Amino acid sequence: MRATPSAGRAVTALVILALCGAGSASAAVDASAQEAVPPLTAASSAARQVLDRVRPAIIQVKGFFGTNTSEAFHGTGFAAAPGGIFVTNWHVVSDAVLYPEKYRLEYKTSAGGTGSLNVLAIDVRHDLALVEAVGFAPPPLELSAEAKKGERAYSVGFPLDVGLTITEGVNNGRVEDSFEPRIHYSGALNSGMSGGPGLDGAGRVIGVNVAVNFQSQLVAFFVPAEFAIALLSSSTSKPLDAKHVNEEIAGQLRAHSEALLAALDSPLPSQNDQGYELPAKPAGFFVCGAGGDPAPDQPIQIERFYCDANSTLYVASDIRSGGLWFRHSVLHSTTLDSWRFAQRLQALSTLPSGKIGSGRSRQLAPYACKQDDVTLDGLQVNAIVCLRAYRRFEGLYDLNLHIVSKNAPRRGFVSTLSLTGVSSEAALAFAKVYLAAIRWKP
Amino acid sequence: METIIVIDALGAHDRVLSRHRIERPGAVATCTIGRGAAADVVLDDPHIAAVHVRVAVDAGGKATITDLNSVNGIEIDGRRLHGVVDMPLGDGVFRIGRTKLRLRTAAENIPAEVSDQKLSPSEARARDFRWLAIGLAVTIAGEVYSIWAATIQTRELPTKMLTTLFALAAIFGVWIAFWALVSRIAFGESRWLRHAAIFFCIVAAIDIGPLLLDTASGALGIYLPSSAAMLVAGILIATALAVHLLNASTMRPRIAIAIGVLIPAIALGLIQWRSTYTQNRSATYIPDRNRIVPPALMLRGGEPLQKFVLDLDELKERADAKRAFVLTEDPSPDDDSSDE
Repeated sequence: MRATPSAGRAVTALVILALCGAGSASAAVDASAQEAVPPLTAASSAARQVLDRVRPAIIQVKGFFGTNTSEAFHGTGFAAAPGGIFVTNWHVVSDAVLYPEKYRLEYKTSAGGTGSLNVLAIDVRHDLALVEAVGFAPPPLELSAEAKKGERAYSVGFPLDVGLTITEGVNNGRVEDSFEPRIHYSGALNSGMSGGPGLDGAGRVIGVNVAVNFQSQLVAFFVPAEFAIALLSSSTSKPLDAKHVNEEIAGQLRAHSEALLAALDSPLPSQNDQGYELPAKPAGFFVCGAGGDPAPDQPIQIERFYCDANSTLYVASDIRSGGLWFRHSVLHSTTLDSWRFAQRLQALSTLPSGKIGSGRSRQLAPYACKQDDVTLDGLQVNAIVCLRAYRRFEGLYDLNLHIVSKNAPRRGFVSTLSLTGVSSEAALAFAKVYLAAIRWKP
Repeated sequence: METIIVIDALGAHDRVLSRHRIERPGAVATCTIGRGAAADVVLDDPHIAAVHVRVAVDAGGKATITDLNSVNGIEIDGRRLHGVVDMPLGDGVFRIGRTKLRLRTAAENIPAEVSDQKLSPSEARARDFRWLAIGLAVTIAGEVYSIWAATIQTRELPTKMLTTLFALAAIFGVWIAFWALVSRIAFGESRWLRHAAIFFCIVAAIDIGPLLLDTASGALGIYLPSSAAMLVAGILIATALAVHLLNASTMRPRIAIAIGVLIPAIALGLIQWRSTYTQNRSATYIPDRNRIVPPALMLRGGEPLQKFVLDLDELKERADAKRAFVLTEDPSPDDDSSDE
């Protein structure tokens, strides 16, 4: 609901820009009819210098399905250590790591040389991977954990398979209120550049291209270089142990969720709405919002509140994990009878065709649930607590909690919590914390 | 002593179109049947000869029938006979031309007299009407209630109710018409009133039953699985089918009840099996059995949080068991993208 007005503004802004562009183009045509415009003499060469400097250390990472010679996916990598050790994104190589019998990885250098790639180490949490290029060992790029906000920055990669490209932008420093640290790069980043280096003006790697916000303009993100440095220092030169890769990923996801839960305020902050104390923004990095129908003559007033940790990690093309969100709908009525109010609360709380959230049966086992009426500090609610295991990652679970109040004739709430990629102990412990944060304080 | 032969010409549903009684002195009697005036029993069927057959009844009351060289012969038990043959008759039914006839003699066995406890047609109509009125009233009340309960804007009620009632009337009309047609084929009478009464009484039960079940479930805090609602629906549908069949066909009660029970049992059983099969493999299915009623109706309080969360620890074991189940039973499911 909140997105709608801003989406409208975005469209308006685009239209205005397009009109401005058309206007200036016609002005240029008029001018050229009279006399030629002299060429610029002092064009910036910084980007060219940076590109020339890093070009030998950049590879295109290509994935092939089966015996196909046409690629299934591609990204970018850069030399980060001697001996042909390259850094790229986990999401570039994840399918090849998870399905080694289906995919093979190859590299292509900026000079056109090709060879095979082995994955050495992965960091799912920070979306990084180390790969070894067989038969190609250029001098590595310098990694710098220092990145100053406001300085010029560059990003290099192979966007859309159109060849090696550099984009110029501004390093806007660490993203404030983000659970996993990210550098905000105000420059262009496109599909295929993932895993390429984010560079400062001196050609040092300050981060790794990772993501872009497609609904905005030039809002792109680097994984800070410190995580690539940490991955380099902790890894060995042996290829990833294919037998234990699932355990490795499960362990990293659990570590992510544990850190996420540890970062929440304790006790869980709450806010009072219509007498119900309900969990509110649990930490600074959560994105929370609220809204409702402003029409005054509705028989039932509904206020909606949501909080999302924006902590979801890319695990594979068909699975995301590590997220935490919750939302509440608080209802009240002054005019409706309690019977129809109960019916409406029932309709609002009943899960659409018995579902909560998303998930694919290919990756996740069915939910095991417990449902009962519970008294929370004198407040009667009905609670469903559900836990589902990951098929591939043993010891990793998703938690869903669905709570609906049953205490008042014309007031009520529905609250839903989703926590993904956690250990069962952490999941159930957090379910208790969440339930305990709900109270009736009229 | 005299011998009596009765010959009935039968129409649809074995109704007697004409009855011919022939009395002959003595212990043995014969008579002829044909289209011509010379025959003892005259029938207006162009497929019958002037004198088509001769019927004879002997001293023991046993009847035989002889074809008198007709073109079309005699049809007995589906077999067509020609020439001069003597044919003993079983139930007395035979066909000449296109006319079905029944031969009766004094030696026939007739069923015992039925005691007059059954209702007269007008009494039966009054009874059907009473049940129809009750069923219809409760059905309309149930529908009006469910629309009222689901509509919070009072100004929308009249249009919603009218559209729903018209739509239901159309569906009901088709259903009742179907059974009336079946009755007409079986008995030659439509029995509109009775089928409407059966139908509306069952619909009333389907309207009211789940409402009572839900309300009781919410009030008592006992949450039934969806299969319970399915079972109740199954029983009601089975009852409806069986009663419709008993009133619309000549089949024996035991068979009508068996069919009435079997059809919904198989259909609902398959649906239930299929949904259980899917639910046991779905990564997003969550059974929600909660029923909300106004707090004033609630008879049971919730269990303390401490007790509820104590029991949560077994969730891990159940989640692991479900994982083990799908890993063996459904190792490579179809790719289902189920996003919100």
